[in-house]
Amino acid sequence: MRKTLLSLLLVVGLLLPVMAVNAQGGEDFVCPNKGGTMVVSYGGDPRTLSGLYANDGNSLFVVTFMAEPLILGGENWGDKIEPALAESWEISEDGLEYTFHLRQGVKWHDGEPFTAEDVLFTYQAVQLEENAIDWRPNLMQGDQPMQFEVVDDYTFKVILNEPDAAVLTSLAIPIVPKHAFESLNMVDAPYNTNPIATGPFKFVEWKTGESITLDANPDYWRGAPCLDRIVVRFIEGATNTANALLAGEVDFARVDGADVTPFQDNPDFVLQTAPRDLMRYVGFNVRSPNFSDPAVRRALAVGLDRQAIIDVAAGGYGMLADSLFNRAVFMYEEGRNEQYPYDPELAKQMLAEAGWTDTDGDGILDKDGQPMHMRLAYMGTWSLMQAIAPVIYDNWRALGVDVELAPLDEAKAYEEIYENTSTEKPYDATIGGWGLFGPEPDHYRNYLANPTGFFAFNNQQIIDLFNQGRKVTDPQARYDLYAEIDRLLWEDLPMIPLYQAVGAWAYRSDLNIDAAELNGTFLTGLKYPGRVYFEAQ
Amino acid sequence: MTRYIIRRLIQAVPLLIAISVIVFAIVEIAPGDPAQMYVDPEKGADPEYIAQVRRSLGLDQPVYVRYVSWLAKTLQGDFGFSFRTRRPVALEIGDRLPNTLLLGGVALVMSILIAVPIGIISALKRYTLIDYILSTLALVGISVPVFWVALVLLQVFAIHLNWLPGVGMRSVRVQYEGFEATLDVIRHMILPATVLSLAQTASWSRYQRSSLLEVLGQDYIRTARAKGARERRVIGLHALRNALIPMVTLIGLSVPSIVTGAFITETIFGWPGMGRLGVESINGRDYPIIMAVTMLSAVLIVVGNLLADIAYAWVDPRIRYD
Repeated sequence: MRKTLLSLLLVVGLLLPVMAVNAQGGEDFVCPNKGGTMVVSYGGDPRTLSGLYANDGNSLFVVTFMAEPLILGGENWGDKIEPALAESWEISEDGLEYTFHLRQGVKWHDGEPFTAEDVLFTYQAVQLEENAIDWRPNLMQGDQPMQFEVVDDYTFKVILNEPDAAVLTSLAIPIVPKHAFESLNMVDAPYNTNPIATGPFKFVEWKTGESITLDANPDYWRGAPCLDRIVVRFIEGATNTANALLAGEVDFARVDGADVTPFQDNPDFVLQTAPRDLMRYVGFNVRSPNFSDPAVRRALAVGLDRQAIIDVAAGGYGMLADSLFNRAVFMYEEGRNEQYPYDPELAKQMLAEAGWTDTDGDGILDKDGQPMHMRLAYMGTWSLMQAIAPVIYDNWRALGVDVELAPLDEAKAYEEIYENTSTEKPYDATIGGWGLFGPEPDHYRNYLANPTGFFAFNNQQIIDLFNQGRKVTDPQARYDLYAEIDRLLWEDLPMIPLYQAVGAWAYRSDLNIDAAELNGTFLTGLKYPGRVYFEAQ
Repeated sequence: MTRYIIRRLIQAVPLLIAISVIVFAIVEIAPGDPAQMYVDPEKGADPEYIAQVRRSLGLDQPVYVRYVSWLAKTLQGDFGFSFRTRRPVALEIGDRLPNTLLLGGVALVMSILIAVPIGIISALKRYTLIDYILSTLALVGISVPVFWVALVLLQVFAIHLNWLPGVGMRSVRVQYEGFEATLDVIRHMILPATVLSLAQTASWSRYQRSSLLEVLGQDYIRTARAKGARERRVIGLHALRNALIPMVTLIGLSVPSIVTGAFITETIFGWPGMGRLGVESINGRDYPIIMAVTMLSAVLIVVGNLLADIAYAWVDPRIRYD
């Protein structure tokens, strides 16, 4: 296990500089070898093939091969803000006007030219309430819709009502072609099952329950893909996916847990890892009297063997977190915050300093006659939570915390935790996971600077800083500001980040994905799928 | 006979309505909400968005209103739209049904062709070595869990020996045409069909054995032998025909499962049939599909029973329903 983790850290460490170089290498990639079909796999039939409706894994997975937003860096679209369909952009002095210069000569899969009218159409369709598109809040400021303007075919303006420095990632919505729709109303548009996009692969065929076939788009603006074809095969379950890889039915797939083993030291496969933009945490109800003191929360962090959680619950595939933010945020810096080491003795000492000792000898800490009881709520049907909960229970029981595990069924979990918008939380702590926020730290505001969030966390200084962060456009000033938030949150610790998930991908050894860049912030795991190629035999 | 069939069909109506009420209620009570399947719990959904999704799926109506409208539409042949894909339920099922019928039908024929002869041999060679071997094999076949057999066959034939494909119904790397395409499907069908027919074959062969043994002890068999009929004729004409009657019931009862598909086998082998549709729709809380699949299976069980009864009268003229 330790060995896996070490090699994993090495891989991650080695990848970072490589990625930086490639990103500059830019658009002039030449395929060393062309042709071939890559078979990949994912759970089941997509709900939709429209980039606007895709927000579940099955749909996003397929859409990511075909569609593109103006800018990379939003949810599922990578960990860095980078130009895609927009080549460059300018921000006005007052931070209210964003002018995008669109890439010229880009063609839709049916040969029509891509223009600013398509961008306008896409954003207007998202804003239309009847369309019930999940992206809608991205293009709203409170109740006010953002304004758009087509300056010319290749210049597009977004006009805000108030400054919002996070707007770039909010705009990372896949663009759809205006000419493929009859009207803005697209709930039942034929497009949803027969999409036309601008990306490296284009839709060919969908065999329900079996597969989706995508062919290379020879006119792709980053250059024609090396592969001729990608087939997305629907395979339910991690074990079935691993078996399909081993049987040669699938060439590239994410593998999980115990199913990673057959690919280790297997000459027919390459096993590679990349951090995913997902965090697992145990968060406190900060309003609960027992856990309102940051010193207590820090002590519990010291008293928690998070490495054991990674080993037990994630099979070693996790990175110990040293920030409440995922590594994808733009201001993440390893080592900025001092790690809370696992040290139960120190934890007991810290709790005693905070006033918690076992005065009545019942094995449970108490303060002013109050025992340290903790109702730990989580979604009991989620197997990952089932694996994490006992470790927390053991560790904190050993410190003298009276932990009561409360595994909830789904309906109850939504009621108590996820949809609970009151400041009153019926739990003292909760285990959960979140992510896919991308590089923009503002997306954490709902949870970390919101008194009605999961942790009922209400720190005015942090709320003020988050609000300020939306208005500041100067990159360095923003960086400093969020770095400050990062430090403050690590001190205050409304939640203990357990680990950031690491994905493992297995693929045929004659498949080369180096230039395609394995990146866990894309559901497909591939940043440039057009650059995957088969090595010549 | 016609009156009997009509009477049976009329009796089936209240039964099917009762089943639909129960299934609707179970789906309603089960944890999870289709609207929540539209959002990632980890992201903490916007309650307003959830409300909007619920409205668009018609879930904001009280449960009895939804049931009545579901019933009214279903009776008119409108099964509604899938919550997940927004495609008509009839289309979703239409895509999967032929695949399941193919797999289930082949498995059924395999089971009959293997189980009946095995049962006959076992019965005729009762208490011999061959009977013991066949009985033991049957016991193993009934006892081992389907998923285990499936995984073992997959490991051996698809992964290690690489003789047979283990996933899906067609090759995706090469697109075959005409006869080659048929051959391709057959190759993909071997493993799942074997798994599906295994347990059935094992248990049916036991039924066939005991039913033949029972018949062989009947007076009319003794009479046939007494009048000097040859053993071939005694077994083939007198005994076998009668011994097949219970088999007809068994096979009739298994017809519904051919249509609704095998949840486990289809999932393991990635077969695009009704069983996988069932699993996916339950995971995705796709109420209209769950209702359609369960009601389809209920109707088929009723019809299957009726067909078995009719077939009785056909194979055994002594049975009269008037």
